[in-house]
Amino acid sequence: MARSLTVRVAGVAFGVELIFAVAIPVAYLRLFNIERGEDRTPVLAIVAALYLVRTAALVGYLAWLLRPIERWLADSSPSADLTRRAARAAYDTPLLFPIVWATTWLLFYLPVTLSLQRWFSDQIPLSARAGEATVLVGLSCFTAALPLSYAILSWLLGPIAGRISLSLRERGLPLPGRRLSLRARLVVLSLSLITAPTSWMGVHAYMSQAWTAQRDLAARAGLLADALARELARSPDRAVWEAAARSLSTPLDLVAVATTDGAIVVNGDAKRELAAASGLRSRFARARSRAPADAVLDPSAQRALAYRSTSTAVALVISQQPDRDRGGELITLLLFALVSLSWAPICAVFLAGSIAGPLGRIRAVVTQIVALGDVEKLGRVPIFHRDELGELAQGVNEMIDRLQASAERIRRYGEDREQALAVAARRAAELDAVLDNMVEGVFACDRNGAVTHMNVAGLRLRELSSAAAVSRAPVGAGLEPVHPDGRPFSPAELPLLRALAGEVIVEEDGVLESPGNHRPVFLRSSAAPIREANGAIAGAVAVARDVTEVADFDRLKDEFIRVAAHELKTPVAILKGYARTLMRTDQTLPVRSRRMLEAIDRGAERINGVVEDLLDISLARLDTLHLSPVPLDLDELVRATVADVGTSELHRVVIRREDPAPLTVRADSARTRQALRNLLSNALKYSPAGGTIEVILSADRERAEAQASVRDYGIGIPAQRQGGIFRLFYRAHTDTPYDYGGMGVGLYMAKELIKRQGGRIWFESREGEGSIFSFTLPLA
Amino acid sequence: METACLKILVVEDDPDLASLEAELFEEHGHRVEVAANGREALAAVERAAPDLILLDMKMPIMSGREFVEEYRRAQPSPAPIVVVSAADDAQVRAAEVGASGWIAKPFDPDVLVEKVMRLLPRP
Repeated sequence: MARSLTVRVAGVAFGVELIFAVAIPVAYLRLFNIERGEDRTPVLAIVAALYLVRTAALVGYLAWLLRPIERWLADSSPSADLTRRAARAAYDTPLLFPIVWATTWLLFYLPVTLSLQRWFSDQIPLSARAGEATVLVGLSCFTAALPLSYAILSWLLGPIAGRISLSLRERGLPLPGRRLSLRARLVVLSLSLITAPTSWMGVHAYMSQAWTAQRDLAARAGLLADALARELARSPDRAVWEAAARSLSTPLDLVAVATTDGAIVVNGDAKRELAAASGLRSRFARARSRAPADAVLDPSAQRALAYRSTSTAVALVISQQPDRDRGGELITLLLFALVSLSWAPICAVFLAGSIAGPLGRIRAVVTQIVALGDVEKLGRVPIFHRDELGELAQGVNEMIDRLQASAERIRRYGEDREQALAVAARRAAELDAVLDNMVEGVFACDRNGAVTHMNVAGLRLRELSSAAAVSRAPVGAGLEPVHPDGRPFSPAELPLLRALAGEVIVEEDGVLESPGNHRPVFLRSSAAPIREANGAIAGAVAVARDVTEVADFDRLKDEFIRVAAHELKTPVAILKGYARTLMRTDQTLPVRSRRMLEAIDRGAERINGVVEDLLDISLARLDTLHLSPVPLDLDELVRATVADVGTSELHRVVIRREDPAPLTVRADSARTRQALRNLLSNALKYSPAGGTIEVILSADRERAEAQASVRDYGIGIPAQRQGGIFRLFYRAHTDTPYDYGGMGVGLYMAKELIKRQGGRIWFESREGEGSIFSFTLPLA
Repeated sequence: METACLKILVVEDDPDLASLEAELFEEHGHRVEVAANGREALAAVERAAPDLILLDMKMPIMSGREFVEEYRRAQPSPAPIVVVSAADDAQVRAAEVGASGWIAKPFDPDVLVEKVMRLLPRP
């Protein structure tokens, strides 16, 4: 395999050339009328020797050019550099080598022609005409050799270039070598194919015309010379010779008489003509020494000289060609060229073959793309030549690259998607596991309020089967929840539905009648909307905790407080009763004993106060406060309460009315007084000695409510402690210098009492400036 | 306010409180009988009809309410009853049983006596 490429290329190329190499010299020699065997042999020997030398040189050059390809073919893992050099050789050799080859043909016949001029100078027309013919022969050989060698090399090296191009592509290397456009190739090839036959035909026509003209000129000169020789033979008189010469002369024919030793004796013009044409003169001298009568041509083939020797003189005639129209000759050549245009179809067939090869490869791949659909298995198109077809192949290759890249992207996208889905599924499973192991019930619904998810605890709370988890039933279907105080929930109050409206609900209590065992289930629910990225509400989620046990425990505690407080009342009654009775009835008691009894009474009274508070708390907590609202005059109630609180001499309580009309409210007298009392006692407790407490009464007729505000200018409440002021057992001044004791029940009870009578209660306070507590009651 | 000597029945399960109540009225010259529960009270009423009954509602064996029902059924002209109760809704309970008056525990001795005196039937 190692040598086979060079051998094959050289064998095919020079084998095809051999036919022409044999035919051309034979034709060439015929052109110069060298037809005798003994004349042809030395010329052909020279041609053969030249041909051998030239061919050997060309083969060597070709082998040198193809060496990288040979090495690339032999190397099982060629280096990048070698591959690049091989590709350059494969692409450039079909362009470069034909030029060298054709140039050898262009120059080949110059030395042959020079030899012919040397050996056959008296036979053939020489000088410019022969030179022109030689140039034309060279040109026709050049233009014939160029497309022939290009076609052979392209045909042989194209597939190899294609293979190397694929190897380069795999390595990601660019294509080396000269790019020559198909347009330029076609133009050069077409010109060559037209020029070769045209010039070949042209040289033939040119030479045959020269030969014809020269034969005519020599024959005419010979006839005139014969006529003159007859006159010379008839009379030796020079006057007769002169008259004969004059009568025979024409503007184109110069008739003269010379002596036997060659000196011109009649018509000096001939002497001048011979003196001017040294080639003619020497040929004439050589011819006269060999033969007594003949015709010679001057080297430029413009003149013919005929001579006839007689015993006394030599008759000379120099005939000239009439001036011929050179333009006419060119037209004749062009006409020949037109005839040769018929060679163009051959050129077309030839080129079609060289173009069809690479196009066929491209078409095959495109068909594969269209039919197969499996992009992964597509091969690449080899690039035979670095021209437009090569670029088309490269374009197809890039298209396949893109196709495969996009197929790969699609495949990878699919994989990623599957992976993402798997991750999402795993996360969903994790989330489900987390949700299902939560103690709290979790409920989710979509924007239309249809349930989309319920965890196990949620199903348990609702005592539903697992199928209901994704039933998409409306929220609240089959539910009849109530508030802790027994009022039923309206659908709009359900936490999940309120969350759908955008509300965030934190730890709100509700009671659910369990459908299974008809046991009330206390739920503490939180809910929040689920928002999309743009903030729109997509659904809602609620978390509900079964706090029945806590509620039960709470209730138990409240019950305990109630019973315990209740049980304390009798012993307190005994304490107070005996102490007071003793103090009242026994006037003889020593002062010390009386003080002790008074202390006992005060202690019992304090216990009673605590017991009353605890009882109130339990009533409020158990929701068993009994209120008997009746129409009553708020002003009167306030005055009575103020009087009852027992304003100490340290404080002044002022009642101010902002509404002169009677303030008749609908309220429970005792409980309202209790609420007001709590506010007043706080105001007194936290006011400095000598401070004023204001009770301001007003009415808002539009809202149909009366308002009472208790204002003090005492220590106020620090802002950070204002939050839970109405909470049970909350004491704003715990651990401060103003901690005057107490259970933190007063404001809680005031709030509960006012709230249960349809009123509102609130406050404003500033630390160091005092507080103002206000409440409203509905006007009667 | 001077009144004649009346016969008052104190129905109270707590002996200390019962004796306090008894002492208060005896101090004013009335005759007081004490019963520890409804059943004892019924027996006492049987023996001698009282002019007034001070009744605790929450008692063992027989409660105040049961006593009132029995008493009313047996007596065509029952004596006025004053309910002495620790319950927060003493007033309501008193109204339920048709009592003439009520007083909450713990009571001020003077208030108790005054209230009861006001209720006593005028001779």
